[in-house]
Amino acid sequence: MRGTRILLLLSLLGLGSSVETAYRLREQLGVGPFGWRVLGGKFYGPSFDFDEKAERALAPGVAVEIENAFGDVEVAAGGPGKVEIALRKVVYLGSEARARAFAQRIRLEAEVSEGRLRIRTNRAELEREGDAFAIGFETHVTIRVPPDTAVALKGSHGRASVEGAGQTRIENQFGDVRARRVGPLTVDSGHGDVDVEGVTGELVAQVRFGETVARDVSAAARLVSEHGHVTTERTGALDLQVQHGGLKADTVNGDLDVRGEHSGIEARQVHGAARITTSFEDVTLEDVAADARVRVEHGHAKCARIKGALVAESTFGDAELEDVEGAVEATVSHGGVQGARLLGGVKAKAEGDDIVLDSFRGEVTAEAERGSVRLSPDGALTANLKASARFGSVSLGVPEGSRFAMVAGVERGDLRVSLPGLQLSESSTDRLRGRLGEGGGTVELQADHGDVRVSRPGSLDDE
Amino acid sequence: MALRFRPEGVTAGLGLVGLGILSALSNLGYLDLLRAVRHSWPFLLIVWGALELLLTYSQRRAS
Repeated sequence: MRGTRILLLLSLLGLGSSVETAYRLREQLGVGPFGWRVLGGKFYGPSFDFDEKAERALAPGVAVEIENAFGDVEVAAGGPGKVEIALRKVVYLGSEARARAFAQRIRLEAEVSEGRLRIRTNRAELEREGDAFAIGFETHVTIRVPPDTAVALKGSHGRASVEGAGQTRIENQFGDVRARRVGPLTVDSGHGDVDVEGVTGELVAQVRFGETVARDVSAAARLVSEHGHVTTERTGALDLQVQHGGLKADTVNGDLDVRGEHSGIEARQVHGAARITTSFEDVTLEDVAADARVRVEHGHAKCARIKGALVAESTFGDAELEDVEGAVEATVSHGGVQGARLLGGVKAKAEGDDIVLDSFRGEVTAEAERGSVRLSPDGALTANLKASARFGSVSLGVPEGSRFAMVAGVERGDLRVSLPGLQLSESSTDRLRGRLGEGGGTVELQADHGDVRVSRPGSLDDE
Repeated sequence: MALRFRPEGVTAGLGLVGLGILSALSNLGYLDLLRAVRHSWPFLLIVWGALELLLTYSQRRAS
């Protein structure tokens, strides 16, 4: 056989196998909108839609319970005293006649039992039958319920949406969850995004894989997010447990409690206390009306405009603190502390980088290891101040009108004090004791393997 | 007189012509190209085989 013949034969067979493969794969690659359209599944190929409608009377106070699989469920507020149900059946079969025959076997079941209206299809019964198990069919349910009806929805492999209902519980696997203008809401979501807005009452949500958005929740929100980002706006008190995701919270009308792992946290406008712990990402906390406590491992802590006291701890990242009215306690390992306008006193401890405090008031204790301390008070210095550094320097800018007794010492460094009016009682190259003005507190400055510099604020910058 | 042609050349030519016609019809919206190619490509093997038989028969008659 000549080479051209072999080549042509291979080309024809290659063409055939490629076309055959492409034909079998087309429209089956990708997971589809709800995640169940996988290669080789039964939900592909030609499909035909068939509609069915039903209506049931609903006495006031009777809850509605919906169960569905492989299809969307949409619940919305309708007229009073009745429930309107629309079922769209999508059957994946090759001909319309076969699909219609199968669709006629799909029944909508809606009956009152145990004080609630239960709505479901006979999917389980059909799938127990041999031929139906291999046939793909979707059941999309749209339900109109009287306004403020209590709704419990259990779904899988489809979107779940509830709007205008009363107390609501949504349990959904493999599909997005959406709720608008509902009463107290409980959500349990497996794989899908959760979008909630307008909850009158408490929100409790557990989301394993997906983004979570919650807006306008009138009462407390308790959220657990395992693999996804959480966004909240205008909620009540917020309690969040988040792993491998993050939080962006705006306007929390209550306390904020966050327990995070591998999650970045951003929170603004907290009208209560804030308590945040997380790791491997940063924390930004702004505008807190009460006390705040932030703990970050392997990340930065940035806190601003805190009305109460602040406790900030971080490792392998800095603590940046601004405009805090209460007492500040900052502890940083492998990082520094930068503070500005801390007005209620400061206790700062840093290992590995500097402590820089600008425009502070009140008593200050600053202790740096392998870093320097640089202090610039806001106005006359009259309170107690204690600063020490090992393998770093201590610098203090003393504004006009300051009054204090001072003790300063260095080991293996220079002691440079330039303060007009300072009356010295003891002075040597490595130790100094004196007083500026009458009264005031005590200023203790100590550096080991570094300098101590004391002068007017502008002079420090000049150096 | 024996026929003189190369069956593989004719087959390749017919394949190209057929593919072009199917593509044009698909672009005009008359058929599904992938489905049409899937159904029709084995005819190229049949045509090729038939041409080989015809050529062999013709050469035997001439000799």
